[in-house]
Amino acid sequence: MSMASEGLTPVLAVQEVEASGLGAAVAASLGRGARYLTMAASDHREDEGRLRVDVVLAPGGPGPLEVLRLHLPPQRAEYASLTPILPAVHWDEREARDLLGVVPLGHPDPRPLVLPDDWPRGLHPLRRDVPWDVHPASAVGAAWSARLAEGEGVVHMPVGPVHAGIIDSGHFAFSLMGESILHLDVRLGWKHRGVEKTVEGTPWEEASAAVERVCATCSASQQAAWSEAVEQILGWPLPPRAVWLRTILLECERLANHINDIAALPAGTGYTVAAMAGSVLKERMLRLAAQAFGHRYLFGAIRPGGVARDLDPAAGTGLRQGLGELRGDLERLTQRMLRHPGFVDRIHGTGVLRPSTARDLGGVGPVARASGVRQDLRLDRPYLAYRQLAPLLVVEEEGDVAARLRVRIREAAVSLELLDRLLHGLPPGPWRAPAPAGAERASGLGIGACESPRGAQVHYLELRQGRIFRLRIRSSSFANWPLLLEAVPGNLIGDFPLINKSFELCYACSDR
Amino acid sequence: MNIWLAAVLKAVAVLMFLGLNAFVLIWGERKVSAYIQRRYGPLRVGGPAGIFQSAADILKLLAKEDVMPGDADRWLWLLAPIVSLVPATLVYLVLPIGRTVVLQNLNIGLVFFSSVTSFSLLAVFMAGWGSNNKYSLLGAMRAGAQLFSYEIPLILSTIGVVIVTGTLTLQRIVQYQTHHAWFVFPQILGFLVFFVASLAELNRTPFDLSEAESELIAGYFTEYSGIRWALFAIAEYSNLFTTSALGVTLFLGGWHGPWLPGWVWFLLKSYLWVFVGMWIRWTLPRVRIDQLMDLGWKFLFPVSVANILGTALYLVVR
Repeated sequence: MSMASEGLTPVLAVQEVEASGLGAAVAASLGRGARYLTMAASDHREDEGRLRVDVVLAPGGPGPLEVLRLHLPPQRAEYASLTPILPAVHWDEREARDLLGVVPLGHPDPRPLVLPDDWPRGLHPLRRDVPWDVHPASAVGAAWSARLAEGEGVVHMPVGPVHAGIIDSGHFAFSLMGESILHLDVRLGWKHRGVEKTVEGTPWEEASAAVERVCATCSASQQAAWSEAVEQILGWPLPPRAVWLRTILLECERLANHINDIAALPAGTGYTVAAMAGSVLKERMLRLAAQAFGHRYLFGAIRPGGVARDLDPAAGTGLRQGLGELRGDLERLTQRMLRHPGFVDRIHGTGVLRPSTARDLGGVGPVARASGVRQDLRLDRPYLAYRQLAPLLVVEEEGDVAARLRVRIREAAVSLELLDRLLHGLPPGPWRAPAPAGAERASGLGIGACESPRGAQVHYLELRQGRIFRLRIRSSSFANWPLLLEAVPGNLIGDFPLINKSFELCYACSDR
Repeated sequence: MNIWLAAVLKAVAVLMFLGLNAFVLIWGERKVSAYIQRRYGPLRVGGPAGIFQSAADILKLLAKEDVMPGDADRWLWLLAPIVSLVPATLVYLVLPIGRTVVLQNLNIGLVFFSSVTSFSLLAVFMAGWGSNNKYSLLGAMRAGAQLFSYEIPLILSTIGVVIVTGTLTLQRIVQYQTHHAWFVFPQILGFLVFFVASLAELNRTPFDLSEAESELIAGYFTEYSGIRWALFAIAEYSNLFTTSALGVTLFLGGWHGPWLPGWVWFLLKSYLWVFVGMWIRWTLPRVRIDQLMDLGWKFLFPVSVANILGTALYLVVR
């Protein structure tokens, strides 16, 4: 374990392609069994006089990540859209068009994704000559041009962007025929914070606090992917204890999220007893996390080079014992839920996401696995302690709300089991490695990826002289939002909250 | 006694009871739900077990601004909460509260009760349409479909009782039960259908589709606040009590019981019924609208018809 970050730092294989050859290169790579990870555009006009688009794919087997690099002249920053051959980049391309002015020709959706509809044309906030606090006077908030179904008897029902309850901002536009949903369109970006812009130029040592706040519920995954990207650039190996502790943190986060999602689902049907009992378990999990790691949502727990603080033996024992007690209670609750005929009637056959749709649109995490997609970064590209302790792959085939619930229930059990083994076999030694020489002036490209509770979390990071040049975070929710729009039509409007909760998508991750 | 004076006194008594009933049930519902969900429920406002919560709620509601949506249909919108109170108040007329206590011993008591309660749909539609809001309208339409589907099994389920006693007078139905078994035993099918249908009629979980907080915001009264919203709540809790009281009258012997005075038994049984309703509300998940319709038309309706046929056949053969 001397070079623990060895497999965690796959060498990147950068391949430069022509604008005309990008589609063919991506298609060839996909044909070899590669999987799309992320796409990042960046502004290199200062030194190279051009814009850059990187498409990152993970090969089917072991081996370096493939980075397909495209250079575009700033006057004609156009290329043939990848969406027709790789629908998973649908939103990525719209975002890059908004933020960097990189235009995918032939993209099926010409509307902005992140910027307001009345944002001035030609002003792309992530271009380096645009200040972070740019506030164009013309952008006053025009009405959003939702895509609606039209026809005799079709009713349009807008929901949001302000919702009742403690939930972030998203605007849903339903086209209804009676109680049935014909079409759903969604608009996010209402609270876009521009984190990727504001961290530009920040030394990497100081950026962790911003990165971990991109999303509270997936904070540890954000920290892990970010740290991995930094460590990759710096060639910074982790000591074994740090590897183990980081894995424990990630699994604790997965467990807290899965318990939360399991508890949220019955609330969508008015089955409050189960929802409340589940909330009790979630609270217990958060308190265990706070006791062991100092923060309920694990903020400030992981730092490049290791973890932020050690787990002392007493806290470790307490955590292990608390998790043991949690296991039995969680099992009893979930069995009660799955045996409840009224509840089961509501979740079976509701919100079906077909396996082909999940695969084609690049679904990730429990949502994809509930539609039969065999995909889990912990197994596909093992990292941290998953290389020694492979978790069981949990897959369901039906793709309905019930399948997504079952995936989470089974994965929570797997996490509990994994945590028990991790806490039992925690190696001694240092929990953080000193930074390698010259770390504060390091430059390079790093890609950190980990399986967050909601699926693949990918950080694309370019450092220049120790400072962030470009950070792009592709979160699991960003990948899964387009899938929700496919699963909802055909269902009753009353089932939407249930379907939405079963996807458990994060607004903050997309409005980062 | 002067007939007008008597009428006024009765009206005042009913309205006072209406207020008191809502006062206790709103607090009671919160306590029951809290107990079921392992919470404490209202405590902070003071009084034993937070009983002053209802008083605080009422003060708050009275002090709230009365906001009318800009495009609302003015009169429909303004009148809906008041209209909802009318059937809620009228049904007290025929309920036999004690051996000799009934406000008006109508010979068509049961028919009066069911016809008056079906009027509450009018208020629901006035609110839903008058608000000029899609959530409200959807909620009102669901309520309409639901009331229509459940009114029928609800009424059919009571016919067995009517066949056996040969009367529509509620007081006579109770008197019959004082020297026979309570109808819950001989009319068990009718009782079960009545119980389920009454939950649906009252729009309560598992049948609270027209409100469905997590799906449709608050349904037809989304746009109401302050005292107008309070009127809806008072009517709702009053309907909860009167429907339970009707069930008690028809199937659980009404005021009949040993030792205690009749009106005490009547209240005890009715509130027990209310409690069971709350218990169910906070324990079961909500059904989907198609499941609701299936249950009403494909199950409750045939069962209640079978119950009528069985009862009639028994009386003929006997």
